[in-house]
Amino acid sequence: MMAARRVMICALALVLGSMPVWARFDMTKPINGEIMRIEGNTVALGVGDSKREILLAIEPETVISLNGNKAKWSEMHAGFRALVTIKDGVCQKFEATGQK
Amino acid sequence: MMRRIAAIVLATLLMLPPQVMQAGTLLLRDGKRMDGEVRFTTEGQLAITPEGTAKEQLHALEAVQTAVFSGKLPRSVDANSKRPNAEWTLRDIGNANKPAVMGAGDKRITLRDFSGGVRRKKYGGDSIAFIGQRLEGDGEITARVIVTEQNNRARAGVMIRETLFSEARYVAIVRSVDTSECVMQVREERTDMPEVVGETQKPILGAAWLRLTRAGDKFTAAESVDGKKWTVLGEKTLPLVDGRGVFIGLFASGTGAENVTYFDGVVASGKRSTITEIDQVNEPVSGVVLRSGTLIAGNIERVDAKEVRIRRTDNEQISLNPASVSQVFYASLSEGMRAKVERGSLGIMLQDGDFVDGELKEIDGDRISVSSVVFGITQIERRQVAAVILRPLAVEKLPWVVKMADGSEIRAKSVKLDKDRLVLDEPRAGEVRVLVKDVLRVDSIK
Repeated sequence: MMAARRVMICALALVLGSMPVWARFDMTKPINGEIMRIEGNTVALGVGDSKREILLAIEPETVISLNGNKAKWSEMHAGFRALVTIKDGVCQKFEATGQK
Repeated sequence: MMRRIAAIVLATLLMLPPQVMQAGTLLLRDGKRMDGEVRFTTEGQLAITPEGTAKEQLHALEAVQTAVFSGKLPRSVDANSKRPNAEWTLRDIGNANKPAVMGAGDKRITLRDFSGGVRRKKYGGDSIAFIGQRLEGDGEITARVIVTEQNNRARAGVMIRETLFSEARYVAIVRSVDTSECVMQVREERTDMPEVVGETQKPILGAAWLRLTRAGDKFTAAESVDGKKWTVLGEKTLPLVDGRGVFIGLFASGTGAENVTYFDGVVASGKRSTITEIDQVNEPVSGVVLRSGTLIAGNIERVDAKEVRIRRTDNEQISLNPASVSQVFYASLSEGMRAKVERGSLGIMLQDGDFVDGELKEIDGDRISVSSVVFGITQIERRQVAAVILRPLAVEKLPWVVKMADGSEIRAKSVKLDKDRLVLDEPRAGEVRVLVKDVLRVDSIK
């Protein structure tokens, strides 16, 4: 009976513990998403299978690249994939891939 | 052998009383005023290293009229400045591992804190670093918040809080680094954990603009990725006690390790003033007022015919003879309440502002019995009571007044130093010992 209760508690803890993971970002790793919209210096990225939207401001110091080459922000388009690196609380690198 | 010597040296160093060195002011009896680093010496003198000099001066306690510690100098009032840094004051609220440090440039405020987050009162209340101003009436604060710490417990944001006490009621926008989300968070009652009343629809990665507005009792929280297009996170009605104003500002908290937060483009509006020494003296949430006029802040543990017992914020317990106590208060009193209490009638001040004239009969658990001429014996629930007035004040003129960071104001016949504590001879409470590091101000009245 006790063992069954323990199993139940462990299962519940696992379920509860895993719940918020989808909503959290590991800021120590680049974040992968698809450019959904661009408005000025801000971009909406679709993250994960559900393409959950997150917003991001491009900073003057953000290093922008497209297909591995240095690029301007104006070259970015909806539909491109992007890898975003956050460092010191701001967007340090915006690495996009896609066809113009 | 060398290891033993090292151990003895270390042990000796640990046994030395801590050097308490703080920025402040000395006003001497001859009228001279000096600003600089002020400390108590182990011989019980006051030492000051005046600003711009390296030489320390020693002054006997008797030669000092007023000693103000810990950067608590009154500063000029600047009601509508929009400059981000000029009149912002940093304050550690609750216990932090180390004092926070603020750096302020033209466009950016940098906050390095060592605090531990918002907590329930029984766990010591909030532990945050707060950079704020006093706000009277309506107001607003806007800032671009950059949480640099990648630890998932790092939090930062903007806040309007009732007092600088760790368990104060407040409304805040809290930005979390791990979810990239902002929430509108409210502590409605002092003993509660804060509640989330509104949250981000679309998370913002990296820097985010936050804006918190107070209009009457209504608070509105909004966020923005660019500072132009704003999304409302939530609204909340919360009447804060606004006797001398509330506190508006920026905050950060982490895990106790160093947590660096940047605040860019900080703009506050409304009738604001710099936090002064008087503001730093928090209005105590609970405590006792002795007949001598001494106020001791702390948690009320016992009130009956035999004893009034209070546990101070430094965890020291003080047992008092009920005959020496004038008032026991369970909540900070508004100005209107204070006026009624100061009329001198005995009785009970209720939280809703009503005053029940009468004599205290008994405090039994959560019920207080009072004998009133009009109503006879009346029982009142403790949670409805703001203060109990047991006896009239009989304020004595005493030569020393010591103000503490927790709001205590202790009148004493004498003051002397014993290691890291001041020993105060209070006529009703006897010997009261307080930590030197918690002393905000010492006044000699002759």
